[in-house]
Amino acid sequence: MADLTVSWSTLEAVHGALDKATGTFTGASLPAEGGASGAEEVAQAFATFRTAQQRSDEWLAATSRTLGEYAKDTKSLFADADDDLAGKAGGK
Amino acid sequence: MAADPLAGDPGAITGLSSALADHQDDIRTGTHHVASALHDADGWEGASKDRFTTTVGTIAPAAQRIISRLDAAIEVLDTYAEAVRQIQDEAERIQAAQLTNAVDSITNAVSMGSAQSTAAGSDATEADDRRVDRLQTDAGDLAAAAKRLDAEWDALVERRAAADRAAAAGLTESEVLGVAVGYAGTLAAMSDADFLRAVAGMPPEVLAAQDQAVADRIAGMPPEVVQAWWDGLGGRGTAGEHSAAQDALITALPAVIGNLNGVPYWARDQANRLSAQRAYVQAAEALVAAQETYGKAVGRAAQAVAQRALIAAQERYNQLNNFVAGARTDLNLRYPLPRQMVAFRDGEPPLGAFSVGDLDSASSVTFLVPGMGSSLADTTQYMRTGSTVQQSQQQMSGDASAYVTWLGYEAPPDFVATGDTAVFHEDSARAGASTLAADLAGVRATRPDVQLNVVAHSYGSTTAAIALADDAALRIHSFVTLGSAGIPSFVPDAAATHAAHMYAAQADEKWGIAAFGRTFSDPHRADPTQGFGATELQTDGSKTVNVHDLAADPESRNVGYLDSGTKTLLGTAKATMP
Repeated sequence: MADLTVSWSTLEAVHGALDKATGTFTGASLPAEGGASGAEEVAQAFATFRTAQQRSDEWLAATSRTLGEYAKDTKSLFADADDDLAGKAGGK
Repeated sequence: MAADPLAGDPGAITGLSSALADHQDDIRTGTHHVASALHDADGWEGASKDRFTTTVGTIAPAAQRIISRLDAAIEVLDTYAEAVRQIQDEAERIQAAQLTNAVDSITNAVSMGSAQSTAAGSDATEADDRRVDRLQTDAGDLAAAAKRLDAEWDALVERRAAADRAAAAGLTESEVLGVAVGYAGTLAAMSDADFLRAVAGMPPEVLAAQDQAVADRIAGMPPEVVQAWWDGLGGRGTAGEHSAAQDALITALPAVIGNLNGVPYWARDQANRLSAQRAYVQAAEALVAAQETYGKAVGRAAQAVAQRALIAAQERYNQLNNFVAGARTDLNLRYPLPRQMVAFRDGEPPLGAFSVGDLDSASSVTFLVPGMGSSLADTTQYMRTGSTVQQSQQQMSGDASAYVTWLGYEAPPDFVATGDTAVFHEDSARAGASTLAADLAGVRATRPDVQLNVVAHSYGSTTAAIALADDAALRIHSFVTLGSAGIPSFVPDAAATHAAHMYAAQADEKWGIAAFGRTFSDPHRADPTQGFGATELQTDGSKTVNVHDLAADPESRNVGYLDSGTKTLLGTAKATMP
């Protein structure tokens, strides 16, 4: 792949940062209403909001995870460059 | 039911609001890591960077929108908490006043009784009459006060109901949800054209939050409608250059877009990698959980249940692990080719297809359909086998057909290993044939002029023959069968497959696996090398095929149908040459 200009450590760093992002998005918890309002219609509305929010969070996590994997796959797709770069990076 | 002014806990509502603020901080932190990744990627240049840049650029704006929606929810909750607090204070004041009023009324009534008795006596004075009058006036005042307090309470009940309504409405308004609540119903009532326009206009994180019905409706659209819609969102596009709306669809609805005929394959690839990666992570977590459960199981029955669950979790993990590894496994190519995850269906078992070659631009596309015992756990093995054919093509002409390792059906178990007799019957083939035909039709829909071939091994040839016979519009160029487990009788000859050319190879296999499968097939299936009208591919030569496998163990003396140096490899390469 002649047009690839990237170092092994760059892709490692990109993957690492996105791994952290994925972990943060995945670990971000949303509170449950738990009877705080004492009103059924408010509890239901909060549940609707919470579900939508949760799915949006999942989108953030899934997108970050995929990009992180893409960076990881990119290293492996260019095997020759990888070997060369890995050698230069100290046999990683 | 009437609202209760004293219900709920304003402190707990404020706690919800605080927790949402903490959630915002988590999203900010995650977005900061994404920004770091973008910064780290500065030294990365080339086509492979384009896709990364395009998609990573969607995260920060989406995170900002999510934070804004959380802001709106926090404001609603804070306002609501304050309203509930005031209403509860007011309710307590009214209730205290009502209690006082009730006590005063009782006292007044007792006094009235006594005063009236005194006033009725023979020695009553004018003062006694005045006392009765005063007590009667007091009773009237107390009754009026009680009425006023009841009215105040009723008003407070209404005030609380209004506060509840306002909070419920606030939490489900578009500033909080991204779209109006009940929008799914609005979408459902739209025409296909309006529906697709509305879907394409949604931000990805909002689209991802929609009901399954939205995904199901898109999945049911005809390929030509999908293709026109997709192209209208910014052209066919490429992995590196495409519109924000297209990117939103890929990331928000990966399970749909990844298998949607009419969508270009670069987009399906991105979507399927997302879905498969997600499934793989879940399978890894499920495997750890199953291992823990097995380790803690007490008693023979519980251990047996846990062991079965562990075996199933391990099998699923192996399948998904190997499928995602298709993106980076070593291949036998002379020149590198791009890879695309063409399909991924996350069921039990998970199914999918992985291409070596770009299906959006290759002049020839070949589906490799494996036989009994195959699953996603064999993805890399079949990709390597396919790449051996491509390597031969590259050596012969410099160009290779894009080879799709198609593991899109639940193949019957390996009879030799399991004793399961499904391979002798047509049920698995019929079920797989419809999916195969749909996937082939997907290529034909987006690439009307591409040369389309099918290379099928063992029971895969049974499946493929049914698929091809059922749909003449697929316009298959070459249909190659290797060690066929037999062609069903309702596909009587090569012409019935509608393929322009049909080739068949049958080696003198050790243990006669293919012949065994045909002999015991029920209903009986024919050998396509015997009077079927297919051009026979020779299996002998300097390397004579002697086992049923496509690729034999290189450490053994065995030779498979697509091993280097065989006539069947050469014949398959020529038959599917671009």
